[in-house]
Amino acid sequence: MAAKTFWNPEIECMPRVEIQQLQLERLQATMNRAYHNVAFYRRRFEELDITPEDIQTIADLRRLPLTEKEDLHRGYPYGMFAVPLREVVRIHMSSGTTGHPSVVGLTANDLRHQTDLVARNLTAAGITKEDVVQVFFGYGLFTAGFGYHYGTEAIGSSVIPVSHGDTQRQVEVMRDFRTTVIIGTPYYALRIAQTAEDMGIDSHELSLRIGLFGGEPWDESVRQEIEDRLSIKAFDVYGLAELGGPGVSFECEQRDGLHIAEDQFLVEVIDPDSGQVLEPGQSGELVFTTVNKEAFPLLRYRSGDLSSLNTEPCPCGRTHARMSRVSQYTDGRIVVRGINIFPGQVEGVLTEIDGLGKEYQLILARRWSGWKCMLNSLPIPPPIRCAG
Amino acid sequence: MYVELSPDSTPDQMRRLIGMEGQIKDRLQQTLGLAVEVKLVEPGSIPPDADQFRIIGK
Repeated sequence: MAAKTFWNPEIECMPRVEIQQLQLERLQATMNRAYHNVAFYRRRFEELDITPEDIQTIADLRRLPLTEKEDLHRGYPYGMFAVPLREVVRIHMSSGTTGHPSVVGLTANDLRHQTDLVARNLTAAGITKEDVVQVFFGYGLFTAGFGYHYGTEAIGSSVIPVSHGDTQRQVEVMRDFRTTVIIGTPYYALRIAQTAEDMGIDSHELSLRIGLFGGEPWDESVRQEIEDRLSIKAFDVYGLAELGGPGVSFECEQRDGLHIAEDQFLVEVIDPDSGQVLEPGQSGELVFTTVNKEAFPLLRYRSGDLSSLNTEPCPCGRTHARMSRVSQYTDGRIVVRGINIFPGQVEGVLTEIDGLGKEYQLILARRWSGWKCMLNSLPIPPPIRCAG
Repeated sequence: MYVELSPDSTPDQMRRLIGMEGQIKDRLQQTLGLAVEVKLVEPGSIPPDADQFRIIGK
């Protein structure tokens, strides 16, 4: 029997004009929720002397200023929540550019929608209830582990929540449990491949067939290496903790851009310097507006991720716009094992310790074994010399 | 990591620096959620215009 192609065909193949109508209806509800329940957004509207009723079209959304990461940090921990805490059933956190992280809350409905997005993602990659899915994204405060876990359960696959670390154990589980799908960060997949080889296990002896990878930048050469060494078909996935986690966009079998869940997110691409909205095909910073979030609505949120949009029809039949692979960021961040590292975080640590100078350099060695992080920083006392 | 003392450095200074490296490692681990090897180097070793983050390897 052929694998199911769509999890939610009515939404995933909806004509674009209907998607835009749905976005507008949901946007107006979201703006009302944000205006009435989030002090930050209410101030924003009042500063512009407008109300949500003044946003009559999707283009009107551009009248609103952008929401920055720092705005979320200032709301730490619950200042950006649009519902009482008693309605929040899960709390996650993403790393902050400086001091406080961003705290993300999800209601039961938010989680239901999140799970639906991940189910679409898995189905688009050809994963079915016959599969055994090993998730090596981190669980805990990181959104991806739980997101893929519940999405996998929703489509009826068997999920193995191994989480990150203990690579030899990962390989043993993969072999013994006859894992068919792996989900995690791309460079960790290469580490797993190397470990399997070191253990004398040929990838063809494993049952693997599909991998979903995201959380850090990777390119076609890495995709090819993963596919060759693990004998799988590898798909790119994209998510943001601030948007609820994984499933924001994903590749279909065409693997020519990542379909954005436009029934849940309204996406713009802007010039990161001027803030001007760019046309499809032009590269710039992704800006997201959530149109269906209850607990944590975001209006024009700057992701810091550079990409471009493609609204041309996809041969797969999905009508949702596609974004190009994210490989660069506007905010100086680097991503290691799915974790954002911002210069401000490092500087924040260094300035709290007496005796250090202002200069530092964080060197990241990207190898088959994953990442090795080294920090060089200048101490004030001159007589000591440290050599690696 | 190898630490080389200059002839006029004192054991107290050495102990302080070793402690400082550990302190930085711990704080970074706490803040970033990643283990980071820390190597302290002499003032002036890092050019002011050097990239704060440098990625080596593909």
